[in-house]
Amino acid sequence: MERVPKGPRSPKKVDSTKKRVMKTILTRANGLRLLVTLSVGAMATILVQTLRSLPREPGGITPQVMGKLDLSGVSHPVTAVLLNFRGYDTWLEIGVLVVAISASLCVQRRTDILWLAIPPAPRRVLTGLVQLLAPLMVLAGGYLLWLGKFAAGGAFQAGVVWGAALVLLWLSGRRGVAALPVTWWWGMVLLGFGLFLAVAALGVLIGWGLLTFPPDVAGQVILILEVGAAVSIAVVAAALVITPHVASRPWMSSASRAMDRLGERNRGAD
Amino acid sequence: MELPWEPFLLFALCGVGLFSIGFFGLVVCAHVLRKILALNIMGGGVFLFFISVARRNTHEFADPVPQAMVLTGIVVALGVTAFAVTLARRLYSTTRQTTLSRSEREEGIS
Repeated sequence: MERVPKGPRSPKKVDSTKKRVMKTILTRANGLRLLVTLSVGAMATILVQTLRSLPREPGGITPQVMGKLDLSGVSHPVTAVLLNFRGYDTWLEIGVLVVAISASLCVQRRTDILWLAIPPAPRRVLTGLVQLLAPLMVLAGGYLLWLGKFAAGGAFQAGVVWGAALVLLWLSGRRGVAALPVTWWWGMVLLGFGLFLAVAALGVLIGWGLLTFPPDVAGQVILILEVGAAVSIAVVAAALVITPHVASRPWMSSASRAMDRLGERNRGAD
Repeated sequence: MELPWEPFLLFALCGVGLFSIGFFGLVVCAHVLRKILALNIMGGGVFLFFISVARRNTHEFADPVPQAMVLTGIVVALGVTAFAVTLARRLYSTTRQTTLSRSEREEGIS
């Protein structure tokens, strides 16, 4: 906004100042903002009215879920829905994550998810804290995974905690995280999707049906699927955070010869 | 039914508010990172709305099917956000621009 000068002035000047002020207010950006505000307001009003007119439902589809809970192999309804009743949702969710990391690497014009060790952090607080936290986070993730059977928890929560532990380990310059060969990382990325695929194929071949488990083995199958999903989610989440940094940091060239060679080959193709 | 606003309604209204704020930001903000954040706020609003509407039942917990769907949606949103940020970095490293418009100076918020 332009400042309007105060004090007496000639009528002609007032007119030009007014014009200038109006011009600054009525720009295209402000017009757009006004338009968007009005349409957002209208949209919100419609949504609120719809919401208020919704009837209070006694059951929803909760009774259907609770009625079949005994057959699902787990005792927490959300886990039962996620991994048994609507298992294909979770399967494709992990598929989306695999696509996300692949697409991210494509955009960066890379084919690897190698994590270079960054130089070990000289800060004792960071390294000490990570040394203390990393085992606890692995433990907490495992606990969350196990908790999913009968309470809020499960593969996603565990995967995110493990992914955070991986990022922390990488940030503190631990070489062990980067030392795993690239095939291992890809294996872990594809583990969840692959396990779902294997179980689905096995189910069709044996005669269970696609992602349908008989009640007596459902618990074990769900546990296997959850472990695979958690590992995949952890590695993909950590890789999505870490890989873009590896490409743009100056220490990249000196950090690992193998990575350099790979990078050279990729850059040569550009 | 004593409260004029039942809790689920209050949270659903918050969801509508978040969605509206996110939509406004998505259209008005020019910087791609702001657009990505706005998209995430919109997504958060949708998740809150969905899970609140699932609480309209009289059971002691919200309908588990929407809960599971929101959990799946959060993971998908995570993947989409990460990919969008990678695209934004690529956009910047290729064109040295952080907006999608040609005349980025014109826009007010950047």
